[in-house]
Amino acid sequence: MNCYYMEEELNKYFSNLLSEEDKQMLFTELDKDKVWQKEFMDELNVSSVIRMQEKAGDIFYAQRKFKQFRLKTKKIYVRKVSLQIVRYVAVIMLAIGSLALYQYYNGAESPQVEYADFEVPAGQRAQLILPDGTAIWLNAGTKLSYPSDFSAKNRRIYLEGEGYFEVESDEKNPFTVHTSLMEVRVLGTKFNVKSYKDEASFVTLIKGRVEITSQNATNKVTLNPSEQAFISEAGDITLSTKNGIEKINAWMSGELFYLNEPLKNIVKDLERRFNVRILIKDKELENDLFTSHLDEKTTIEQVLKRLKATRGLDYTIKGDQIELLNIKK
Amino acid sequence: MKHITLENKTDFEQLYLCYYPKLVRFTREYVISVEDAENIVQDVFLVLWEQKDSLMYVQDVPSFLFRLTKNKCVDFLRHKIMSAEKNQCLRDTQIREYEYRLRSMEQFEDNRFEEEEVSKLIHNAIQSLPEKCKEIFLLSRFEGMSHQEIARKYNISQSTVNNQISVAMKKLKEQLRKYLSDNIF
Repeated sequence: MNCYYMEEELNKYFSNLLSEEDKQMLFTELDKDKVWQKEFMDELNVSSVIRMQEKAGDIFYAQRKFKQFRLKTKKIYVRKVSLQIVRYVAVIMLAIGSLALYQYYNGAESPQVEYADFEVPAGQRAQLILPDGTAIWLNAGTKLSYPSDFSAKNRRIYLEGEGYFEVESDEKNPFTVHTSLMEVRVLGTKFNVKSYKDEASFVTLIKGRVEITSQNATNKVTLNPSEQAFISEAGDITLSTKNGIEKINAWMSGELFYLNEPLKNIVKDLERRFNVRILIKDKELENDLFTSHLDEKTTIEQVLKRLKATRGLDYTIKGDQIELLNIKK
Repeated sequence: MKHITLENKTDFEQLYLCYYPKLVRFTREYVISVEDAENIVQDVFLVLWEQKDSLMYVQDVPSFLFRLTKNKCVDFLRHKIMSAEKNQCLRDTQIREYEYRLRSMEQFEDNRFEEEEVSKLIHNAIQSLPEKCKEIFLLSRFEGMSHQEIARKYNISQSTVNNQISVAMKKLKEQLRKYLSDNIF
């Protein structure tokens, strides 16, 4: 094959002018000749370097891609930090545990009760084992306070946010969970408390028995398994029987289940779960009901895509904030 | 952009905005599909993000980024060729095309890659071209015009366009010689 032919063909190849058969012929020729192979590689490598030169419009393309990138890093970042939190918890629990033991054996009463706070940031979850054997799972954006004299005889904690409790049974020493609206008194039991600031408060019982007293002590109810109590700001308590009770603590394994749930409630969970800010731009969407299931691996990007694909809903990402709006007709 | 450190978020963002488009275009030359190129470069930045704390002391982050991209590309092409041969999902010509592009990428001299120097070399080479040749080359490689469109614009034959571009490429190869590995025999 002559030089001129090869040069011409290579040129055409890199200008995307060769048909499938021409390409095949070119490669067959290339296989035979190392000089032309080198020519091919040089040509390609020079082209690729030239392509790296800056172009008009690059910045807009890059900004668009950077937004997608940010969503990906959020997920990764969260995963990494959660591990750190788990270790952190272990250290704290050891500290309380030994403090409690010390007090238990010494029978000493602390002259002044101090409170230690434990906070789970958005995008993370934590699990604690208290010195009395009670296991607590804390959801994202939850604050837990416990007195420094917490012990098997003095079992009370303060919660703002959501926690699932498996309390060790001890009839003489009830375990109490305090929130801004109520006090939950338990003997031995499994239950979920959801009491975020400025959101509806719920206590859901899976097993055992709990007694709920509203903060102003005006109302008092006893909850049976599968029942859910809604506690209003005014201290009213409404009971209902909850279907799918086993899903109530799905958040512990990173899952989120919604059965006809208003979008405004879902959005609050998503904000905490993914550590993002979500604004419902079109207010009429707030009370639209959604049914959905997210597993641990679902990313915020997938959630948004799903919402967009299944419902008349669109989203835009502006910096840190995600905006939900009606799809434009 | 010479001494980028990743001490804060803004630096990372600047780095991304500056290099993402360039690296995608670079990668696309080897992996052929734009989508594959975008995924590869996005992955490169994810790696960079995860390691950003330990990268504070890397002097020349762009070169590091460039090497990372090259390695990801090589991995991608090897995997693509292997699975295509196994599953017989690509035509023979396509596989060979990927093979030649992989070999080219492996030959690319990345150790001495100096972005500013490369820019200067390309600029010089292009400036030294005859006026018409320069225009045709720029239209083809920077504006993405097809040979046919260029031929029509200047009222010349397509083979003249072809010749002009090949003159320009020769000049560029000469200038960028140090990045083109010589030891392939």
